[in-house]
Amino acid sequence: MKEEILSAKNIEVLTAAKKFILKGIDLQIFSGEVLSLAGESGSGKSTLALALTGLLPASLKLGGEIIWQKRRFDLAALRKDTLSSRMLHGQISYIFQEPSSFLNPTLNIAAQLTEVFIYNQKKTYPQALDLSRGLLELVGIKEAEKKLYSFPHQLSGGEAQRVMIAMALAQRPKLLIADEPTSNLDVTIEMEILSLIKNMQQRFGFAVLFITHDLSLVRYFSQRVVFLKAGRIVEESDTAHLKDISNPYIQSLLEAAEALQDYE
Amino acid sequence: MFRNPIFLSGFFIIFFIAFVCVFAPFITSYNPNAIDLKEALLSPSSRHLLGTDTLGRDLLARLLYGGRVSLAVGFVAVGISVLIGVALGSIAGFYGGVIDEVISRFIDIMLCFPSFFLILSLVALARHPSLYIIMAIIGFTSWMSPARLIRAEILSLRQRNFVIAALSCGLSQRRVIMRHIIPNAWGPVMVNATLSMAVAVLIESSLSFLGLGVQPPQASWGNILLEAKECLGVGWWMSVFPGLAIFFTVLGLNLIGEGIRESLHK
Amino acid sequence: MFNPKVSLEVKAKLTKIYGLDKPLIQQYLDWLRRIVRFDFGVSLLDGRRVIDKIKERIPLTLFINLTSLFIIFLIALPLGIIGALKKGSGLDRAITVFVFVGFSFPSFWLALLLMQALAVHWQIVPVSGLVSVDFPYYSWAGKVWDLARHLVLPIFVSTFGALAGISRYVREEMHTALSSKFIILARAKGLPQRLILLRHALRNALLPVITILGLSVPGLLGGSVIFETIFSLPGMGRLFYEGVMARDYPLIMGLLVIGAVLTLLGNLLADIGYALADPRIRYEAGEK
Repeated sequence: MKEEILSAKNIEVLTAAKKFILKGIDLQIFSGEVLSLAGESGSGKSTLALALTGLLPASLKLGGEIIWQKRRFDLAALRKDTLSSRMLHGQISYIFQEPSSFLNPTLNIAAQLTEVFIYNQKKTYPQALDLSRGLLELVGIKEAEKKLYSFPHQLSGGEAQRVMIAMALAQRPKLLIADEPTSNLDVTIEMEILSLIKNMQQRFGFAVLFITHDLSLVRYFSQRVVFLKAGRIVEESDTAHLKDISNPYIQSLLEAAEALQDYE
Repeated sequence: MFRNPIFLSGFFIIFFIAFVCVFAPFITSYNPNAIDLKEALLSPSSRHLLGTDTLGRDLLARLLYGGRVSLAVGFVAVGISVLIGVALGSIAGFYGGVIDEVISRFIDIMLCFPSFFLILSLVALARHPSLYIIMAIIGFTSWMSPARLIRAEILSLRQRNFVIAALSCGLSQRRVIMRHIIPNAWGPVMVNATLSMAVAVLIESSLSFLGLGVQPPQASWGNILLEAKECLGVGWWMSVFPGLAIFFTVLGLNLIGEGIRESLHK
Repeated sequence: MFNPKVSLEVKAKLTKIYGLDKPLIQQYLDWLRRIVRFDFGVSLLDGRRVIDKIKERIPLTLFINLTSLFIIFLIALPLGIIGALKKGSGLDRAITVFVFVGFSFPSFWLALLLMQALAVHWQIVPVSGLVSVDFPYYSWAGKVWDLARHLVLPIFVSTFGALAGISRYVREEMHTALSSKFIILARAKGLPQRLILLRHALRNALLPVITILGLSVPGLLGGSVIFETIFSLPGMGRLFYEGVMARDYPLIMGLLVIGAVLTLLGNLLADIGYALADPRIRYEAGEK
């Protein structure tokens, strides 16, 4: 019997002009599982990813609550409460779509990696440096020592994504939110990164919220899937029983995914 | 644009100042150049609303008529700089190639010098600078930034589809510039022009303050402050009021420019 | 250029001395050759070499302007950071108003008002000049204090004008930096707010500010003319003013060239500073 680690209730996001981006979102994530969040571009997937921990910019209105590890967090209040926010982020990690945009261009990799150890886990700098080196090797970066002191713009797309994964692992998360982690990468690298995430997940046992628009990946990666369309959840299912879904929209998505697979 | 509070506040300030300066004869009956030594250095009273200067001339009158000069210089100078700048910038941006290189180098060379130094040098060259020469000098040393602005706008607009479409329809290049490109590039140039006018007013009053601009007995806000410097400690009204006039004019123009910029970004 | 009453003989002599009888091209080339060696000829006013006159005035002007830049940097940074953090709040609005007022305040009016209030009325600081009459008799500490008293007002005036513009720039850059994607990740890592501000955002925001500081050199030089004249300080700006008043063309030319050199130096330093600070330029992509 799996326990629920994250339960989101009635999440709503509006623009300043009162237009809905997300409405009435309810979501449950269970410990150790991989849940996919699928939908086409513009359905609000990335917004939901950020909304779950209150990471949205102040220009958007946020409503709803989450229950994390049996504690209730009101999302609107979370944005202003830095203490709770930091605690939450200490246990929930993120990886994003374009790794190079999300890494600070003026700090080297060592700085960006060690700060997680230093500020979240109170390690000293030498300890943090060792741990960082080990992590880089774990995620498959060759010449870890050299890459440690390089800057984000010197890394390839795949390397940058591995660094982001390393930073996410450094937090020892109970949940990893992966927002389209491979959409910007070459197909060959895509599979490497995905299998890396899968390995790490099996090894460390954290849950993953995997956000994607690519249904073929959903089947490979996750046990459950939730479909998002125009800001609302339209369907929820096990990945094993995808074909049984009667929703015509989902069916057309599945057909498109399969057609592409045959083509490839 | 006309709903933007910043723009509106600037606009009203400038409107008010321009209005009182233009209608000066209706507001004050004093002649700004009428010397009356019996009335010298009087503090503000009901007879002389802002007091008098060392030669007994009414300060309010001198401020209003001097305002005409300062505003005119600012306006004409900016007009000249925008005309030259838009012309050169458009040619550079549109024709590209060698012409662009030459004009851009020319701009770079002009920008090597501190502008105030350049202006002062030209004033020195002119021996007895008249009002029109000062307008020209300021205009001829500030055309570089509208030129760069419009060149940048044109370079980016050139790639846009509607321009390519217009050109392929066979419209003459000049027509494309006038009817398609300039209306789109106008915004930033307008912002730049209002801010330049603020700078032009400051430059004119600085020059007059140094004795190198508008010469007495013709009043200008700057040269009234020069006279104020001579009687520092007596006659505080001579330092305060012309300065306030300059300050509010420049502030108003800055607000207008900022208001336009904000409404462009929406 | 010549006083019309001068006799023809003297006119001929002077023409020969200044080489005005040579063909125009030759004159230009001679001039170029001398300019490159910073030989600007002699001042029409007192016959001394122009370059000497300029050299003795540069230190003071540089000192005042660099001190101003330094103080501006110290004040504009916190102002800009606060403005970006608390965007839209009462404090931010107050700072914005202050910035606009600063932009619009004519520097010579400020100087005049301050002179009137602080020097004449309340007599806290001296009215003008660089040193007091008794300066040579002061102790070492006394000399420093005297200099400081005389320079307070000029430095304040010089700083005030540029401060507004630069604070505003810092605020905009900080705001841009704080809206960047890497800040989202920094927050997602659970880092303390102060660290995010100072380490992540500020580093990126400062890059363009370095350029701006270098580019403000010509503006500061122009401003020097005004406040050095008002406060009777023996600097480059005041020298320019004297040269213009006396129509001393060699001096004016020389100062114009030196002004251009300083401007270009400022640009160069700004470029170098930026290249050193931005890792994307310091290390070519793909190379170590």
